[in-house]
Amino acid sequence: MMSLAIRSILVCLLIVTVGCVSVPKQTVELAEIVDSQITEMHTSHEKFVHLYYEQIRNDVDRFMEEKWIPQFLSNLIEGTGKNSKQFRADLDVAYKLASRDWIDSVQISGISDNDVNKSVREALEKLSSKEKAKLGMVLIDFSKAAQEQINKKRKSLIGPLNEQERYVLDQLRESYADLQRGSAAIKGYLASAVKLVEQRDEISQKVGLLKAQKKIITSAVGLSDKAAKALKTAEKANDGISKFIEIIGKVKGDTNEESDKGGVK
Amino acid sequence: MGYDFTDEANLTDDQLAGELAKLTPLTIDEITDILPEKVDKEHFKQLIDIVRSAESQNDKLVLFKDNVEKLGGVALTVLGKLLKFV
Repeated sequence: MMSLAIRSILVCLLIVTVGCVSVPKQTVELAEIVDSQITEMHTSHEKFVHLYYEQIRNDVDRFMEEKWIPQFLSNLIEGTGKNSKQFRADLDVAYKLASRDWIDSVQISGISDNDVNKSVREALEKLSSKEKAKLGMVLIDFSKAAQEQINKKRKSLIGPLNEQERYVLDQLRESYADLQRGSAAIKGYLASAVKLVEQRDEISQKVGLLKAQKKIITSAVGLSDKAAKALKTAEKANDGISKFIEIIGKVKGDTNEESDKGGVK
Repeated sequence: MGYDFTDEANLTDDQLAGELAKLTPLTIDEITDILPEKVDKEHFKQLIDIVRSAESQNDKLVLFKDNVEKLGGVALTVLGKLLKFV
């Protein structure tokens, strides 16, 4: 069992450190709730930010599909710029040559020699096929160049949005991290203070009991001495016995009184 | 062959300038206004250090009490010697 001296020193240390501060266990529980709510708020906040920027990205896509791309294609077909003029010219020529009936145009029916007729027909079929391929190539080149501009435009609108979203999320993350660090420090401190206060209370209680016990013993010993003295100095035996009984009665009464005060049974 | 439709794209931008302006993200000022105000990092760190140091002190006292209970007399002797120096 811990000696009274150690307990006294500990109590002094604990009382000096903790004073009369009351730190209920629930403060730690409350700090934990605050901590988890910070995490919840952070998640919720981030979701709102994602939703906000997703909405703007959808607006951009809708604008591109409904406004920008149709206007852009219209400008290309109208041939307002240098390249679109060139495209229109290439397209017109390629279309004309690809859609022409070469066999009919050359009138190979007038060629009586079968072998020559067959050879010319084959050559014209190859030419027709080649012109159709040319038309296809003009259209592919057009698609590539048009798609490149559409992608570039979309990127120029979406890029800054993504960048801003990242920036906002980074800033929020940093602020919430600070908040969580602060909360964790407070929670840690509260937990340590709760432990300390519990120990202070526990030791105070134990020392209180020991003090009461010591007081009872001291009081009993003092009264016993008085009783013995009374017996010794009594001139008559009966007087001595009466006084002894009276003092012992007082000892009993005082002991009970101390026990009640200190809570010692 | 290969085409470059940059001029046509620029022309489209000019034609739709009013609607494009509506799709611009928030300005830096608007963002700064919305975001939480930053803490003074240095001061914040100092506060955290102070609170952690107090927590550490508390933990040491708790540990001290546990050790005293375990070691009893030995701890008392050490404590007695320590107190003589104070």
